Amino acid sequence: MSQLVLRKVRKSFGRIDVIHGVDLEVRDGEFVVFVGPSGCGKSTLLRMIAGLEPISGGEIAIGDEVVNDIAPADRGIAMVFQSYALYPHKDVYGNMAFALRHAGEDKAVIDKRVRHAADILGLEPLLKRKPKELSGGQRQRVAIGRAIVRDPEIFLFDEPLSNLDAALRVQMRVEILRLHKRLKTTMIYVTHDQVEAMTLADRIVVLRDGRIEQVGTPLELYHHPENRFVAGFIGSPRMNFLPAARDGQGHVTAAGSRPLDLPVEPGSDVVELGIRPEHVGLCAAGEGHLTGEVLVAERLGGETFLHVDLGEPEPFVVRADGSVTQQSGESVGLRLRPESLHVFDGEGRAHPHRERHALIA
Amino acid sequence: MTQTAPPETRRSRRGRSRRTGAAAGVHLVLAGYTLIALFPVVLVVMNSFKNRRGIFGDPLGLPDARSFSLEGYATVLGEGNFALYYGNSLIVTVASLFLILLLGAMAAHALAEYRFRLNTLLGIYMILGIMVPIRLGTVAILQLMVDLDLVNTLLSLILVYTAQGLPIAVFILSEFMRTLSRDIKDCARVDGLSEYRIFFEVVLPLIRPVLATVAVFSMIPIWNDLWFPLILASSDATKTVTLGVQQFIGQYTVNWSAVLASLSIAILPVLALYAIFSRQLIAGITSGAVKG
Repeated sequence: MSQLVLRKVRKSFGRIDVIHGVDLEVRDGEFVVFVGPSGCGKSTLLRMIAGLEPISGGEIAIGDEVVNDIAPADRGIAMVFQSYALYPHKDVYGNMAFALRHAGEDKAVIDKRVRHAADILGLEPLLKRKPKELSGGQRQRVAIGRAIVRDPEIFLFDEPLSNLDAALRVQMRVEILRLHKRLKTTMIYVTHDQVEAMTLADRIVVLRDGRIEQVGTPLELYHHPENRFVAGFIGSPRMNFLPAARDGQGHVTAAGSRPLDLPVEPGSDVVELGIRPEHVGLCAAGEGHLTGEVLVAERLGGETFLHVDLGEPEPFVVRADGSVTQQSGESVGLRLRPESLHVFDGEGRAHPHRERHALIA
Repeated sequence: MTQTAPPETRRSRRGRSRRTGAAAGVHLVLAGYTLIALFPVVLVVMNSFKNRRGIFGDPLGLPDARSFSLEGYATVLGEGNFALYYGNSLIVTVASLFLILLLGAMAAHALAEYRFRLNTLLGIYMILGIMVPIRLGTVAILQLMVDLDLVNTLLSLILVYTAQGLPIAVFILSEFMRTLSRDIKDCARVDGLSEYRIFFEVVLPLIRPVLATVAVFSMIPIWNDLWFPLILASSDATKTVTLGVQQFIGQYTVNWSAVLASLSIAILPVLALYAIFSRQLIAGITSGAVKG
C-alpha cells in the first residue's frame, strides 16, 4: 500500500519554476531520503508535502486522500526542522505537549504520550528544562520527540542534523534509524549529505533542478546509476570521469588507455567512462590500463587517496590501501575493473550493465 | 579594541596598558555624557525641596536647614487637581502604548511574514510617518476631532498618540520580525495553530524584548507632550500633567517650587516603567547583535 503519492507535482514562484512535475510513490513504513545539491528543490518539495508551501500543479495524496487543500495540521504529518524550531518560552514538556494541548486533548492522554516519547528518546530528566538550557543534540531530540507525540502517519525531516557537529551527527543518525525500526512509520528525510542518505534510506530520491534524476535503494544508485549526475553525486570521493571512445575493433578506450573488455551495443554512443576511486587497482607503471604520475598522496591511515595525473583537467583519484608506498612524483599503473565501470553517452545517460550487482536482487 | 596575543611579555604589558588607557578614555566620555544628561534632572529634583528664596538665592546649592521646604509639594498635592491630571496622563500613555504595541506588532508581523502584492509599498507607506511630523497636521486633526465630537476627551489624545507612535514601531518591529526563524512559525502551523494564535502565542513571546524597547521609545514623547493636550484636551477634566503644571506659571509670577515639585513627581512613572522594561530593553538592543 502506498502511503504518499505525488502526481505531476509542480511549484513555481512567480514565473520561476522550482519543481517540474514530480511523480513519486512512497510505501507504508518506508524511509525515503530526498537528496540533491542545494537549490535542487528538495526542501521545497518536503514543505509542499507538509502543506507549508502551496502547490502550483498536480496532486499530493496521503493515504488515498488528496491533501492539496488540507491544512498542515490535518494531514497526519509531523515535521522536524533544521533549526529545531522549539518554542523558547516553553519547557521541554510544554514544547512536546503543545500541539496536543492545542487540539484539546485530554490531560491524562497528553501526559501519557509525552512521557512515552520522552522515554523513547531518553528525555525524561530534561522535561522541566527550557530549550536554551539544552545542547544541540538534546534540542534536536526534543524536536523529534515533539513529532512523535503527535503520532503522525508520516514523519518529515528537513535536514535535521546539519546544525550538529560531526560526532553528534553520527550518533543522531543511528538514533533516527533505530527510531524508524521501532515506530515503523513512514519517514521522509531531506538532506544534502549523501552519507546520511546512504545510511538511512530504504530508497533514495536524487533531485536536481526540481526534477527527479533517479529513485532507488542506496546500492542501486551506487552500482547502477542511470545517469552521469547520479553517478557523480553518490559516492565519496566522487567518481572519476574520463573521455572515452571506441577503437578500430569496437573496444572502448578511455583517455588513451589500453582497450577495455566492455560490452557496449554496437553503434551506440560512447562518450565518457565513469570509474569509482575504490574500483581501481594499482600496478607497476606501464602495466594495467592506464599510467600516470601521482600528484598527491593523502594518507588517512587505513586508506590512502592517490591523486593521479592522467593528462586530464581533473586528477584521477584512486582509493588504495593504507599501506601503499607510492609517493607524489612517482608513476603508477592503474588497472580498471571492467565489471565496475560505467559508460555514458552524449546526453549523460548510463549504458545498462551486463548484469545486476550481486547485492541487489 | 585590538585583540593581541604577542609572544613577548613586555609587548603584551604595553598592549594591556594601552587597552586600560582606551577603556579609561571611553569611561571618561561616558561619565561626562551622564553628567550632562543628569544635571537638569538633578537640578529640578534638588530645587523642588527648597523654598522660593532658596531657589533664587542659591540655585545650585543643596537644600540646607534654611532653604529646605516642602511648600512646593504641599501646593501641588493640596491645591488643584494634580491627582486627576496625573491619572489622565497615565490613562493616555498606557492606552496609547498598548495600541501602538498591539497594532504595530500586528502590522509588522503581516509585513514580515506574508508575501503579497504591494507588500514593500505598504511597508514604506506605514513608516513614512517617521519623516513627516504629525504636528504639521494639527489643524486638520483639530477639525477632525471637532467633527467627531472628540474635543476635550482623552480618547482624542490616545488616537493621536497611537498614530504618532505607529510608524517607528512598525519600522523597528518589522525589521526584527524578519530575523525570526521561519521554521518556528511553520512548526506552529503544523501543530495546528491559526495565524492569529501563531501571532499571539509564538511571535509575541519571541519579540518581547523588542516590544519593551519600542514601549520605552514611544512612551517618553507621549508623557512629555504639551502640544496636543493644549490643543485637543485643555478642559480641566482632561488636562495632563504637563498641561497641569502650567497653572503654576502665571503671566507675572511663577510658583517655581510648585512647578519643580510637580515635574519631580512627573518623572516617577517614567522611571518606574523604565525600570520594568530596562532589563528587556538591554536584551532588545543587543539581541540584534548576538542573536543566538
